[in-house]
Amino acid sequence: MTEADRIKDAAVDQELLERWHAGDERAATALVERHATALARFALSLGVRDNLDELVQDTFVRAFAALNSFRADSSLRTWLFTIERRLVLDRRRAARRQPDIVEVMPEDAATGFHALDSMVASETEERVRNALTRLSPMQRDVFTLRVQEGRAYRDIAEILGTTEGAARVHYHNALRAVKEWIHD
Amino acid sequence: MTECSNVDVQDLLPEFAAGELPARERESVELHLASCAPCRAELDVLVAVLNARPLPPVMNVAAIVAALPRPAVASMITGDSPAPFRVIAGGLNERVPSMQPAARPKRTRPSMFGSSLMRFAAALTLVSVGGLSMIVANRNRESFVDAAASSVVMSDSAYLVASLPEPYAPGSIPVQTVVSVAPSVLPIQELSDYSDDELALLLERLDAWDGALPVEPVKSPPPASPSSDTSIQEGA
Repeated sequence: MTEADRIKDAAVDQELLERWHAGDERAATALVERHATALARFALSLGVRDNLDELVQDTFVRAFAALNSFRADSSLRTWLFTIERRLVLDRRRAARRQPDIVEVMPEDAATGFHALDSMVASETEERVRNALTRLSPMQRDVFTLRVQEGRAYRDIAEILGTTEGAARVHYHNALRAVKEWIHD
Repeated sequence: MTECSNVDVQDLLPEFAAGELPARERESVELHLASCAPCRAELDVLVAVLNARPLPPVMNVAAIVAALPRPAVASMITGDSPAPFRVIAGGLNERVPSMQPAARPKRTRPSMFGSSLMRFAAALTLVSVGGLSMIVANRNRESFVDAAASSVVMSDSAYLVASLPEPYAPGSIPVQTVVSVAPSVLPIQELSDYSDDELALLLERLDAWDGALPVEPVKSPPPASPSSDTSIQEGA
């Protein structure tokens, strides 16, 4: 996504938010339609496998409850990604405190890899997915946000709570590693 | 295979792989790729990663929108607390997200705990302050009684001194002024201020004093009760 696309996207989101504040229900529908799939995909890349729709819904609910704090310094999607990632981390922490719940470890984080997918996925795709699981959590998050979600380094840094320079380094390290593992 | 040093093109490769570059930038990347094997290899990886992108389930947009806090409600929610209620679009059978139970204790239990704690603290403070003030009041009353007694003595002595002829007045003490002041606010006058002769005269006068104060005590006005006066007059 280029800078011009980002500016255009931000303008559309801003207009929809204003319409929502004015009481236009369809604006909320449009906003959810614009970002729900990306949020679900990002959740998958974070390793969320259960209650994906619930997570996405909670992300929207939390975001809409705090819309007054959204200053549009970043794009709405970046903000939503940040909220969603925080929710995922909160749930993992809560799961760790409850021994009955199976802990989701970073190494469990896959890219939405399901048994059915494996049957239809090409060998290359399977190699890529396996390679992504071997990355460190930070490398994987940076890499998937950059390649699969097309986020800029600035946005990635904000979502993951790191710096733009660190995000670049993680991306290039991840790319080099994935390239090597795919061709193994 | 050596790596490419063209950072600008490398930065554009993810967007190029996704087909999201505008025509002008796309052409320049294509031009570079024609002569750069490392970038082509990198592009292959990026395309493979993009194709391996997970397919998320279809989201229930209507349910999400129905669960959103309305603008008026959202303005009442502070911080990043979850919505106070969740609208269930599909009826009671639809799964309610896990944020609802999280919201309930936030609205009730902490506030009840907080208010009872505050009440207990307030009661404790009230009892402490009340007890302390009682102790202080008792002590003050004792000292007040002592002070009143001494002031009466002083007022008497001051009166006696005032009645002395002018040459016997000690120093430059304005005795008349002292007498005119209420007994409780008389300036303390030390007996050492008086000479032996003056003290002897004081003792003489004390011996000769019959105990009656020369000043009429202030009488409180009788309670005004016109009705009783009338009845008396009528009775008379």
